[in-house]
Amino acid sequence: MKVDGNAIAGPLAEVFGRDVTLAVATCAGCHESGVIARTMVYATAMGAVARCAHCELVLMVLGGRPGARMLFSMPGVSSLELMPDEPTPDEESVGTAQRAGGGLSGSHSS
Amino acid sequence: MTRRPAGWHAATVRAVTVETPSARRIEFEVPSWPGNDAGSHVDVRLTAPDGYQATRSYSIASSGETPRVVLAVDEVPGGEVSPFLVHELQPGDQVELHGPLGSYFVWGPDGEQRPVQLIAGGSGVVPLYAMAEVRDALQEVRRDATPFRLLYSVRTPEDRFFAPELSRFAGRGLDIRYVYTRQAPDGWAEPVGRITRETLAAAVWPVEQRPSVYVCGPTAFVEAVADWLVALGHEPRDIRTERFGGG
Repeated sequence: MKVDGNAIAGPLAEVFGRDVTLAVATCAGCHESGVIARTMVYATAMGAVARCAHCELVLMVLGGRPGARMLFSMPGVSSLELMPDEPTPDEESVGTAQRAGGGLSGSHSS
Repeated sequence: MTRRPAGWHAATVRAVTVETPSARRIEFEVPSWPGNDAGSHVDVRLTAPDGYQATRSYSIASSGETPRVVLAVDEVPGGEVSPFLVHELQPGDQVELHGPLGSYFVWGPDGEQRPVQLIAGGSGVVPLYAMAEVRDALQEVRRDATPFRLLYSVRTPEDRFFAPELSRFAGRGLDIRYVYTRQAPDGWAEPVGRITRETLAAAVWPVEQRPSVYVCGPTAFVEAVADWLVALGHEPRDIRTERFGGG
């Protein structure tokens, strides 16, 4: 089932202790950056894989389920930028995608 | 937008009402709920007597600082969670909610007042309804709320979610266009069928208005609509999307 990064907000909040859908991930393969909400996510009963919407590299793997044993890895994320608190309008529009709803693409300078 | 901590909450069902022939509106009371922005979602966790657990994500139809959380759940035939929520859940039942989740697909009246374009496929209208409700409440007191348009693709008239509420919002300036994919009301002038690039172009705010666009629905719907919006000249960064699967 193909969805997007919004769908893994829950399990990621278990890992990070907060919502990280607006965190900016940089792809280790193509170096594009974008918010996690805009990644391509493939979800099954076993877990979920988040891929770069630009080059399709596997960014993150989530296995297991909240409340039980969980596995989490970020093989394709070279950096993850988390904002401390209230998002600003600039921050929200980060992750300019070349394709609408496409995830990791566009330009973000940090 | 307020960033609120996501956590697990015990929720008690207060009311279950018929939303459409295949969907139910479920109102929970969640004493520990920190409130939520319009457009955010929750993970609902059900636990069977033998300890087996299943979790699914649902958009929240309500918003604000309130212990009341409203969902509208469409049954996915053969699904693991939605048939239970639609057919079995009763007032007084308890479930666990994880949330509020998602700080990307949300809208609030603070910030720049660009027109907002909502585009829904089926039950994808739920988070967009929450945004329209916030706008409507503002319109009632201020009379100059952000201009909103909703383009709502739905199978038949009886499958519309929040039909009476949306009619009321329309009376206060929410511009609603329906696309019926299987059966339209009697006398409906538009063609019946899936949304096309032409229908979309005619219904949404023109590119020059630089609308903030929110698209929610099944994955294929969202991707077709988002691609057309870009082809029409909308900036990809102005288009927020949320896709859902089923279960």
